[in-house]
Amino acid sequence: MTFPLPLKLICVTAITAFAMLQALKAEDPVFSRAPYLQLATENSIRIVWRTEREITPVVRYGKDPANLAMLSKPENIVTRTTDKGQSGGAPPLHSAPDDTRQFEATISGLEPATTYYYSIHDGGKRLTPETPGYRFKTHPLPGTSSPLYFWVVGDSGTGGDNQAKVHTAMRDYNKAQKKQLDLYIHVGDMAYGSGTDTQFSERFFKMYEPTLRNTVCWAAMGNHEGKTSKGKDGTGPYYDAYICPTQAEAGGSPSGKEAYYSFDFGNVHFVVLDSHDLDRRPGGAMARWLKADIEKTKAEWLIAYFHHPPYTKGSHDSDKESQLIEMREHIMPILEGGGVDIVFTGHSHIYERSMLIDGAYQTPTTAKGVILDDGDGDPKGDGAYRKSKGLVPHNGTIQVVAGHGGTRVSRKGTMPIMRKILVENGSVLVSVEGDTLSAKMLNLDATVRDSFAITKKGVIEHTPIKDPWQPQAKDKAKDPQAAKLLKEGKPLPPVTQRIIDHGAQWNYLAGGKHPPEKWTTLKFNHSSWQKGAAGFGYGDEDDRSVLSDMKDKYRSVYIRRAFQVPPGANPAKIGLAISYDDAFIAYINGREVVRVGVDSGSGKAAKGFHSHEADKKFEFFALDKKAIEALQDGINILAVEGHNVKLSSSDFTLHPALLLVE
Amino acid sequence: MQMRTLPYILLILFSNLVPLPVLLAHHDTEKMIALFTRRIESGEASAELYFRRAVEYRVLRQYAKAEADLQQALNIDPNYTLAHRELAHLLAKRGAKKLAIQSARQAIHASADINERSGAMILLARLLGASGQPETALRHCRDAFTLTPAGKVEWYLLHAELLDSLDRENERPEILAAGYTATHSIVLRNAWVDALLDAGRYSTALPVIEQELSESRLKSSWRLRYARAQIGLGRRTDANKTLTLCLVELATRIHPDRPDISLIAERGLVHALLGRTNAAHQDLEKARSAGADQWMIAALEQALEPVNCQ
Repeated sequence: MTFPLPLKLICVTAITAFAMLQALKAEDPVFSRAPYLQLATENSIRIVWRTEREITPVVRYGKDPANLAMLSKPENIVTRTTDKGQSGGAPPLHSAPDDTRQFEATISGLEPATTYYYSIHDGGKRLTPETPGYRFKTHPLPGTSSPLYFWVVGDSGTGGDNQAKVHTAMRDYNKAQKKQLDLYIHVGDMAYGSGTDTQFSERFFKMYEPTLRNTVCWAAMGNHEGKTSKGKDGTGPYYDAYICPTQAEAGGSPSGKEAYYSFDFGNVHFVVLDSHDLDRRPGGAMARWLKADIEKTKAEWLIAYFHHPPYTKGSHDSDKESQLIEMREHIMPILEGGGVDIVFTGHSHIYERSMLIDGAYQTPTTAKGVILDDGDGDPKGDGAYRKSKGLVPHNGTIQVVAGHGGTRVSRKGTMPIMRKILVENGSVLVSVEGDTLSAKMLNLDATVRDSFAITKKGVIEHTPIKDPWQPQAKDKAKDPQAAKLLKEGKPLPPVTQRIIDHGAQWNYLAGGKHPPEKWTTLKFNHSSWQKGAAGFGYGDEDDRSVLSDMKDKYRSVYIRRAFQVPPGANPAKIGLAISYDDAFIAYINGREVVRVGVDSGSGKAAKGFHSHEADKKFEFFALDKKAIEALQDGINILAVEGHNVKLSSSDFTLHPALLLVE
Repeated sequence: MQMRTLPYILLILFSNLVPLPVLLAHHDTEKMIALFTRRIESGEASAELYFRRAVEYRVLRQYAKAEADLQQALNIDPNYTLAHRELAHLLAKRGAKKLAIQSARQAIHASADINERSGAMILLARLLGASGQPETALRHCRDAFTLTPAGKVEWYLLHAELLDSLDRENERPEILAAGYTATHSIVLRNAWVDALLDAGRYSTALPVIEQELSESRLKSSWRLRYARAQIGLGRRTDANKTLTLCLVELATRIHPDRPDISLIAERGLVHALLGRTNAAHQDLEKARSAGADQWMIAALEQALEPVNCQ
């Protein structure tokens, strides 16, 4: 008997799925929540797991995965159940299934910055498989400079495909980069829709299990967890899941509450707030604790995170919603007055990343007087944001809304302080090493969609930029193709005379050098510049003067050439024909006549480049009235500066000609 | 197929394609209000629906609509504790103190367990305190502690503030010390130091202040406490030097256009202690107009009192 192909496929899929489920069950027969890590310090850690039957809990650990010689003391393992009268004084579990036992093992007396491996046992029977994936690393000693690499996720807890893809993307990326996470911060909404015990098990613990077994998740509560857990009391499934410091166990100042706390990792100080259900006013206990905590820390870096973003126009609007407004108006002044470097939030289902800002507390948020650096912050672009060494009040903050960890993303409008707005799922990977913090937004295809960095050296004094770069409005951003066309020239019309021909000789300045201020004028002497035939560039086989040293080294090239307007020519019929990749500004006799793909500034100060492919085509830009006015009898100068969008771009092209057309 | 059924079929298909948690996760405040409104208008008017819509209205700062919905929720379920508490907050926000107190009392009455009851008692105590009835407020605050002896950080702070309102500042240190022992909160420890200074117990406060001064990165708040102790101990010249250092640090921390009001209150007190009354008054006004809590400016007001009387 033969089966039709679709039926075969269905059968094969069903059998495979069944086999995989059985394999999973066989591997993990006991745990209703597999082992995960909590509350790491420089000399201790907590290991937490759940079963639904009685076991004799034992943790073995050691520096060698093949020799887990050390044994946890029985008195250091707390067992929690739903029974209110349980022994030992541990708080009962809020709403876990009836037979649940939650084991919380404290392992102490450890060495700082050291990797240990562990296994969980029921008496003599090993429950965790023999894999080095069950490991933990203690924090470095507080105050010491130690590299840190961490993952930031928000609004992820759907249990759906996108959440899984974001997680897998991070793991694949780290594997390719040979990197391991030191910690994982979650900015809330990790178990939709109400943060119930079951939703936590399915949509958080099961989803992230391979990461949670060796990386501590330091969490901030979201509004969805707030439906079943209460920050005031510290009760509910969220507070059952996490063991947060209340007595400065991991550094910082004691808050007395799990809802808000701080911890140190070497010389990085983390502050975690509850923006959902506690008093956010400056006189509230949380704000008072925050002020006391950041006044005391002597760390080199200060990172804050909480759920409700002070600045967003994603699926939420920080100009309209009370928690968001209050976090901006009440909490941000304390954080910036304490020298905060970066703030991670979620709630709004989008990725939004700001320029370097300070003092943007007004409602509605505007960019006026609050942007300290309007560059893209990309070390391979405009360069990293610069700040003074140490924690200096009001020296600039980056805001990152990372509410794109798995749920549907959307955008209401444009937040004027933002530098990058991406309506797609993903997460953020951050590294802190010495004087530099670098961050990347990784989408669910493991593609880096945004990169920025902060460097802290010496003393940097900022003054707000008067007319800062502004993000594209939502409507324009909606149709990138339409927006791009607006900036492009027209197809080449029939040519009657070539004033500067294709492939003509030009004087050019490259090699990462920038010309002096008046290089576009007639008077400027370009005799020291090199000579070469257009086009200039690399990488796409359309260049005569190949700049083989340009990639990864510099991204701007300047060219100049003299020309004369043919006698009797109609200046209105003259135009620039240019093949370019990515952006350029053209000048005639010192006057800017065409600007494409450069948002602001010129020369060294040019900013905001937009990508454009030359495709071996020329676009035509007719001279407008101002350009025609710049022309003069006799010798004229056409000067063009070309910019690549990134140092690492695969190609660059700058090939202008000046034509008289029909 | 009838065209009228098409949207429902599409909805069912869509709902099956998109996991339910994804739909639930899409928390757009305006859309949630629209959703609740549709459900209410279609006859599904429950106390919980009105309550949930009220919460969304409150998020959007549409307080009148939130209040109306809470009233509706309570019409349906008069024992809805959360709705009583939420309503009390909203009423207090718009200055309807008596009604707010009434709602808090109803929240106590409707409480289902000890935790709810003690929480509602603290709310009532807070409202009574803000209404100029500190004695009654103190009684309710202590009742809450009787029900839940461990208390919470905010409760101890309230207890101390009520004692202060009753000019019983000598009792504050012990309450705050007990709170610090119970919770380990640094906020209670710092408030305890302030209470010691208010009570003139400088020698008890000084070791803590000196240790904090040596350990802290930003020192202005501890220098201010140190200066208060120095003044109390008759070391005025030393105090002036300490206060001057405070001003230097505060100048770097206070944003010129949009300052942190707790720092403004702090600077005002520094000015007052240095005898710069005009500057102190200006900061007091700034802090008041920015909505500073009474405890924040109490010391500053007190420091300016003798000048006001002249």
